[in-house]
Amino acid sequence: MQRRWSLILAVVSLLLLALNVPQVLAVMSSTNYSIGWDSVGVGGSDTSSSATYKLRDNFGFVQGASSSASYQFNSGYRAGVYDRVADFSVNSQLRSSAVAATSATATTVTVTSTSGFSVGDYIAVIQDEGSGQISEMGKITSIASPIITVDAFNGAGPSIDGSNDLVYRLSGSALDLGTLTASAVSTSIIGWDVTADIAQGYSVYIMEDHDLRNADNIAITDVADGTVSAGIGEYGAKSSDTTLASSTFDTADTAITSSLQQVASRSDNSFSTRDFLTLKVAPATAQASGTYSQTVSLIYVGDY
Amino acid sequence: MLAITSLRSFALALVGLWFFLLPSSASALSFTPTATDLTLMPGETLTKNFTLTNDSTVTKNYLTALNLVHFDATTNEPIFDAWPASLNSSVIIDTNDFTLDANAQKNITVTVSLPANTTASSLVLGLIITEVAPATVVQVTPGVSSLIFVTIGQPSVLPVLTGFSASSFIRSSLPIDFTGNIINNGDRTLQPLGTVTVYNAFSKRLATFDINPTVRRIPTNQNRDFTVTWGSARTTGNFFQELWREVTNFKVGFFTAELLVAPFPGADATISQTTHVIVLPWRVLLVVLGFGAIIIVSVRRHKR
Repeated sequence: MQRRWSLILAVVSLLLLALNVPQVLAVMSSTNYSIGWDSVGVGGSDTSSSATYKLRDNFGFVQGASSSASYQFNSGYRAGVYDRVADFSVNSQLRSSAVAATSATATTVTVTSTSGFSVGDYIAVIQDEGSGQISEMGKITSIASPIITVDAFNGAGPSIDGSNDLVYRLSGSALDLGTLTASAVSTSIIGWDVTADIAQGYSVYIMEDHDLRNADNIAITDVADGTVSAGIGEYGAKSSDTTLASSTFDTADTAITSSLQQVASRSDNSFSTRDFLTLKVAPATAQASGTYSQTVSLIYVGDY
Repeated sequence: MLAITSLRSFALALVGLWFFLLPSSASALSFTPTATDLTLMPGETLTKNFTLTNDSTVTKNYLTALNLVHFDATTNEPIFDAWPASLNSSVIIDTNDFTLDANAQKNITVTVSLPANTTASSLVLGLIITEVAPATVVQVTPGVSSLIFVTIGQPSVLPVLTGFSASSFIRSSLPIDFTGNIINNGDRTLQPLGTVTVYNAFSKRLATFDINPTVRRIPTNQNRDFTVTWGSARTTGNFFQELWREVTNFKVGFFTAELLVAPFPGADATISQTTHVIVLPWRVLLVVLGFGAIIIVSVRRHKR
């Protein structure tokens, strides 16, 4: 009996080992080199340049890619060219573009008027505008009044029911916090879009030239307790990126300082990746009136 | 008196931030390269070109600046420090400010020229280019940064492989993650190149993986995990789904993974470490043994 079981186990083990076939994986690197790509040339020059232009031209190549579990093949002209370029655009909430929102889905928002909105514009959809607002950002792909359709929304996923819900266009660099009062927290959104062919990812950092202050150098105090509250005199911001490693912009209203602080990050290649910052300001009851100014810089830094 | 008090309260409670009349223009730029290496000997001079493109539809002004950069010990995030005056004559940007028309490009050249008596070492420079905001208003401006990893002479190279292990010692099926952690205790920025090779119990090579296909760097005093995955990623399923995965991705036995790393491209020395893992597809074994038992019992009954 024991011998029979041993025989069965031995047969089963041999069968299992026989199925354990090796896989072949071609890797063009070793401990001492790495070849990103190579090519087979047929002669001629494929680049031209002068003081005012640079050209990479080609004729008649067939572009394509194919792969299986064991190989990957990219064909065509300069299929392996890898210029690490980052595109970075920043846009601020345009207060004068406000329209009421009545409902929203995963990629659409219904508004009271689509006037002033165009395909390609960035928009922010805001639920219950104010200190506790919930927002999302998207890029318009089509407009069929009264519905605006975007490519995708990025943000907290507001619930739009037509009560104090608004849509703003994000455009330009002028930050508009509106008319401030001590009895309420005013908000404004800065959105950005990153396309970066950098496998390691990137971070976006924020810094200010000085505090938000008037001509007499009287400033609205930076928030220190994690929440900008009405009447106290506080100024800060919170990011839509909830996964920040080296700042508190993801979890709390945080002061903008003259040092670079992280407000967004990604860990891989990015195509039109978006985040936004909600700036919040509430002057103190005894705040001096006037025009308060500041320059806020958002800096893209590719990971290394 | 009451009117004056009310007016004063109203005035104090108002902080006017009126920028509606400013022209709206998107702030967008692209930049390359986003990180680069410069290796030079003391007394040598090297230049590096960077290209900035004004992607907006209007003319923009820009400022350039240099920072020294160090890295957070926990998050590896770059921290931009003030530029020391002692480096003013050693690192020069060819332009401090410039104007770019819409869609125009500008080459920015950074020249590193080190005295002959400079000590072998590494340093990281941060080239930051920011759009200039018009004065007296609250502005949001984009900027981009490139990290320049400068290696001077032949600084000490001391990579320490602190560990290399599998995601678990015993697995029922693939995938298995292998992770190596490298600390840079030397004075040179590292760019590890290497492979993880998996062997079966008979020393037959089954798979080889590039540990750092994106050539990520490890600055001095930083550490980084490098993870490769043997097998395709998957989510956990029920018994039958897992059984099917064990069958379709069949592996069984004792396996050895070897990590072999050169600290940077062209380095002579390599470091290596091995780890082991057992793959035991217990669901398959259970089913096979179950069928075997049924067959034996059936044969016995048939003989009776």
